[in-house]
Amino acid sequence: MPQGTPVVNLEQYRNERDATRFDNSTEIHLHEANPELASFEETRARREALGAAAFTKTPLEQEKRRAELAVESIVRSGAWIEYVRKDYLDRHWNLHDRDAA
Amino acid sequence: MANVLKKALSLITGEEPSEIVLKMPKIRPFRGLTERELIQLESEVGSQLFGLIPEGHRREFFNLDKNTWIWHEEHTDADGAVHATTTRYEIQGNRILKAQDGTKYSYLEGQELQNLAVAVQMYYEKVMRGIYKRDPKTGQKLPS
Repeated sequence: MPQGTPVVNLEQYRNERDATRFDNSTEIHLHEANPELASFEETRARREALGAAAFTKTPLEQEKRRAELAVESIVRSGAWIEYVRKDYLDRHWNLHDRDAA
Repeated sequence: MANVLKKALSLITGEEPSEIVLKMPKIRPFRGLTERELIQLESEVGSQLFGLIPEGHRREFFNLDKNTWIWHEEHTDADGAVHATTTRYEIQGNRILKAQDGTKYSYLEGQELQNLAVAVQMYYEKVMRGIYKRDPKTGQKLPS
């Protein structure tokens, strides 16, 4: 059985990919009611600062920053997925309950 | 609502409402999906990120909650024995802990961390757009 984290089939994905490609530099419109998502604005600014400084750092420091960016991206994606999932459940099941009542 | 229908039907048929059996569908056509069903849908998207799934194999890749990602691989060998590996990725502060089958633990680093980040980013884009109908860049709902 495979042990290492699988590698995304980029070629396959690129073929499907449309013009709305995810872009780290794009500003996220924050949901004001969710303070957790608001912190993304700070992480975005930090990412940009780290990116700008990357050219002046050693390979080891650059690798460290790459790792930081990767983790931040994973954290942010997870937070958004959880947020939209809960939003879906709230909207559908609250409507459902209201309808039943 | 059912009473109104019963009454209307009794007026049409001339029979008493008690004699009329109305069978209402138990599942509403626009019933919302449960959290489990949403995750299953997401996992279908996630399983396709890594290319073709070999015949006889089953693959799952999904976000369990905001701090946990799951990758599961399963296949049956020629003798009928099922082999499965479940890997859990847990966000712990600024690191990602990889727990495989509850026995092997390590922090992701180097290329493996980048692989996970790319997979998660792809998953995010496809799930936001395909399942939740949201723009992955802004989080805003897409026009239907």
